[in-house]
Amino acid sequence: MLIYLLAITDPEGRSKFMRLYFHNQGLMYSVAKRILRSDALAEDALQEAFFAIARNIEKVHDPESPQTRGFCVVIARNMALTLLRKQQREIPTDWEDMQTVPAPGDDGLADAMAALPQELRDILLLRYDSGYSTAEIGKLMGLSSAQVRRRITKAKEQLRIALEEETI
Amino acid sequence: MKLRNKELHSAATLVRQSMLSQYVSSEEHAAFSTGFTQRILSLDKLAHRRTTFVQARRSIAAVILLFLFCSGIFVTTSPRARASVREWVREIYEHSIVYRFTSTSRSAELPRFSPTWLPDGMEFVETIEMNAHYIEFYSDNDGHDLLIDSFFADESSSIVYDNLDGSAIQAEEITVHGFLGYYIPPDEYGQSNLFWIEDGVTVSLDGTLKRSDMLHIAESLILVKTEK
Repeated sequence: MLIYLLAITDPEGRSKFMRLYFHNQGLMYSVAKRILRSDALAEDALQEAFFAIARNIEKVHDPESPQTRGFCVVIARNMALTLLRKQQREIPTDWEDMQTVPAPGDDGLADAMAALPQELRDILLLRYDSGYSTAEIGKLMGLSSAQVRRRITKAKEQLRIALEEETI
Repeated sequence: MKLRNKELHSAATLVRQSMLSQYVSSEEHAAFSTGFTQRILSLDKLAHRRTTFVQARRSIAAVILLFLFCSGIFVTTSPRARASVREWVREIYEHSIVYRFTSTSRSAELPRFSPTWLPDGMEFVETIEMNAHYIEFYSDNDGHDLLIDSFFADESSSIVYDNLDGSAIQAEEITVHGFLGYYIPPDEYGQSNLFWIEDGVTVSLDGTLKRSDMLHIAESLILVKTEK
């Protein structure tokens, strides 16, 4: 991991990364531990998460913004889930709860997006909230650009269906 | 229904806010291990070190490139430098060419090359061994002859081509067994020469044969080692 962290060679990037780390580490830890139920595994997941963030630090404009906080949660959760799959650990009993996001309450697109499956919703958040390209999302999530594009298309299709059902 | 990017952006912002609200009450103090914390905290110091390392590496690469560039120029312009690299130097005079070898003398083993192909009618006549040269002599009934001379390419030896009629000598670059060599076209007596240096051994062919036959014989030579 350290090798990747060392990839941040410019002072501005380093400063940004450290601010991001101190501002978001507690939240990211909570997210990872809730999924993995282990301090050591949560730490492993966060190492990978900080890894991915360090490689993309130039895309972070404000390390303490809510937008970046959301991005950190998505990355931490994705890394924790990946680790969970690798470890073949038992799925937590409150798994369903963990995957859901409370409806924002706009009775429209945002509610439909919140109701999407987590793997589709996270990609939409990275694309439309954090502003990452499909290639960048692929690198962050361990997917190919084509897989990311397919998931975005699938997510949009599900949103369209949900909105059409709502208007009927 | 077409979803616009602006609408998707606004919706994503609302979803993110909603998602973060889930964790407001549950945010824990991260119980990272000492090693992990130290690695993160030492990032700044280590990254600075890496920057210094990268700069140092670039400087070293620049110095090496400059050295190679200067060495290239030196080798190109100085016969002495060329000789030290290639272990021989070619000196061109008005009517002669001298190939002077510069590596230190060797005497342990005398190299001996023998042909595996000869033109029709060409037969072995005799072997001459003298002054650290191994020479094989061949001839045919039509008066053509061939002399294969092999010797160490060291400071004790040299090859001199001198046109007695005063005309300029043209040496043609050739390749034998993958080694650089030269072919000197027939002189006024029809005698041509071909030589190259192979693993520190100079092999020289003198004869009154066609250029193509000379090259064919040269390629067919095999090294047979003998004790001095």
